[in-house]
Amino acid sequence: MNLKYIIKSFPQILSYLPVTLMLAFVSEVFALVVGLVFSVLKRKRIPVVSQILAVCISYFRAVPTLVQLFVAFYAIPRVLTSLFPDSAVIANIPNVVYAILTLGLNHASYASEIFRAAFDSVDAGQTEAAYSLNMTRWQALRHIILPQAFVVALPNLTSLFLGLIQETSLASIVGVREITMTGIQLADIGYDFLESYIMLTLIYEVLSFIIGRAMRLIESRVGSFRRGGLEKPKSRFLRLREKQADAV
Amino acid sequence: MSNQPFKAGLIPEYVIKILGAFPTTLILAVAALIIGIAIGACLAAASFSTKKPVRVIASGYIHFIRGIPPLVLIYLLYLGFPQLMKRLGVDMSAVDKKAYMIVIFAIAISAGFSEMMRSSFLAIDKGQTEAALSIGMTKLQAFRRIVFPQAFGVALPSLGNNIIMLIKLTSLGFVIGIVDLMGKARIIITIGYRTRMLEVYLALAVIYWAMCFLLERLNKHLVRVYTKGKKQTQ
Amino acid sequence: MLEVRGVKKSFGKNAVLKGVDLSVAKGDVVAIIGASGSGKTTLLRCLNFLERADEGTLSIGGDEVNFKSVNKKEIHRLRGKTAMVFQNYCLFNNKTVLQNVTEGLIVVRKIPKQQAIEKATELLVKVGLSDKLDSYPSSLSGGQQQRVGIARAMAQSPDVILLDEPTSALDPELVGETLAVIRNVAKEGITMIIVTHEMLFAYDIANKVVFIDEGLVVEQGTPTEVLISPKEERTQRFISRFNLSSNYSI
Repeated sequence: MNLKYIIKSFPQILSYLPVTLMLAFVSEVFALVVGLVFSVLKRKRIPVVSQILAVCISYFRAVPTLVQLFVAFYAIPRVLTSLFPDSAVIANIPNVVYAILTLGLNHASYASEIFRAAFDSVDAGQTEAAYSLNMTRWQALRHIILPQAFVVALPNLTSLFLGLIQETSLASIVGVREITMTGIQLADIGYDFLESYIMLTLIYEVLSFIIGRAMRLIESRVGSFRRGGLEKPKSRFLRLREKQADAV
Repeated sequence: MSNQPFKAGLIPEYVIKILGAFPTTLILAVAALIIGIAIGACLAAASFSTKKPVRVIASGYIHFIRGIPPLVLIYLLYLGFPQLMKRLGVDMSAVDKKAYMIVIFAIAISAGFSEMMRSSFLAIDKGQTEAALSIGMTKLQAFRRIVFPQAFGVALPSLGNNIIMLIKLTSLGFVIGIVDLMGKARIIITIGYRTRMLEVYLALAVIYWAMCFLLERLNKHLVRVYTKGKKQTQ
Repeated sequence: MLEVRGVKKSFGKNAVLKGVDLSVAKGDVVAIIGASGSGKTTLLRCLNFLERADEGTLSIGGDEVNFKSVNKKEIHRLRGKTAMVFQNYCLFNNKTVLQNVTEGLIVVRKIPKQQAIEKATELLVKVGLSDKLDSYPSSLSGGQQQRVGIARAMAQSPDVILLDEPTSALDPELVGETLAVIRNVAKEGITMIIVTHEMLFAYDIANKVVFIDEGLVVEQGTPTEVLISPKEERTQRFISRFNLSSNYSI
């Protein structure tokens, strides 16, 4: 092992971790929002819209992400140029924007399916009970349906997000400088392949581990009602009552 | 970037040219699939083992594979691993590039396949095995004749998804110079002085799209046939 | 107090309700009986607008709407006067027992939280669940869940409580505790419409029994009139399936 190389280049690779994280998080937020919109649109079954949506979703699921990145990378500037021929901004759009767009839309297609399944998993009786209490559509959605659907969706969204972190490495191929690109370039200088790729592997593994653990924690928190909610603390009111009872 | 106007009419021509590399992608995918299923089966079996160390190793391997981006895995195994072996005195430069890549792809998909098999077997009620044993079948017979056919039916839809994922994965072979569909597309781009990038990549997208579409159709058909057959025998 | 006239409802070609009339006075406990598929549950769901009836009118406390032309605002107004107890409980899975009861009060009626909690606790004590306030539905038995459902309905202080086969999803040994709770509610003089298969319970608790068959009210009257000495032949045939003299106790 070339320890000198490792000591020198590990901080260099790590210094691009924020780029990888930014790519992952921004794409994820984008994917969640668009995915939710997709799943709502799919539900509404609007004639032309739903066909276009189906084609888009099938494209994002069937074509390798890397090919999608290339297509976005070359197609979007052309489309923009034809729309705004005089704009000087287009040529200066950083690659990372195309990467976020592609990764975001790609994962939105998967997320929309996760959302749909999650909504379907909530029993129709829950909505009916909410309506019977005179809740409005929005109140029923917000207080009853969404919290339950969210718990169902969460484990799947977690693995989707872990996949997204890995796919950010593909952005290196279209010229986004993140950790993988940095690792590859540093390796090439002195043929320190083994050291470089072990470092990269380590960073991705640790990242996946931490995020996986954190999500597991969140899942068990928000899903406590499914197991009877034994770990949920007693309500304030009940504690108060017990105190009063003790006092007497 | 090129300033040439976009010509959609070129795409069919590129599709045909790129398809010249289809056999390579097919070989990569099929061979990786077979090896991947074999590794996955071993992992799934290991995860049901009564010996704890075996289970720990299997789950450690699966977690490791799940945590590493395929691109990094390719670099690690293709460029990093031979360096390690060289330092240990083993020369790997004679290993065939394609064969090596097939193994890497197989390793990359093995975790997903093992999870698929594991959950399909878990989906089959224990009573099925018990009933088979109760009429005097051996454990192996019970597995082969009762449990496996049912688990296969459960796994079939996700098997299709996993195969599609594998096909998309093979597009990364170009980073080490394999001329599969992706590699071929990039050669065409270079030969054309990098003027027709969008057309070539769109042609490539069309090919993958069509492949996945056909596979999805085939898978749906198989699921239907398989479940129908089962209902008739019930 | 509650009055429905000419309620019709079809699902596709299948006419489930073919013009049902029903009037319920304040304090009445009305039991609706009939075979499966007779339309009795659909009628109840129409009263809560969970199904939209095709035709007919509904009036509660003098507030009348036409099913054909009813709008969102009217639905909201009339729903506020009824509360529903579901066959399969339909407790909110993501809410504790207490929250299930307070949810409607806080979210819909905008009652201050503390006040809602006090009211809900009082009701839950009444249905015998004082030790389950912070449990989630998934940890309760069917009978306990249905008692929460009843408390949730009562919390809305509705003019009428609609109960849709409240015990038919319960294990036999849990039916008794639930019926006992319903009986207590009836004793408080709350108006109730109960769709039920429990003939003896209907006889016991109701002051009016309505027999529905094939989407029409065939016969209605006091429990004795309908259940013991029915005039219509269809009612007689239906009643004869149940042995009303069998042991029945809560």
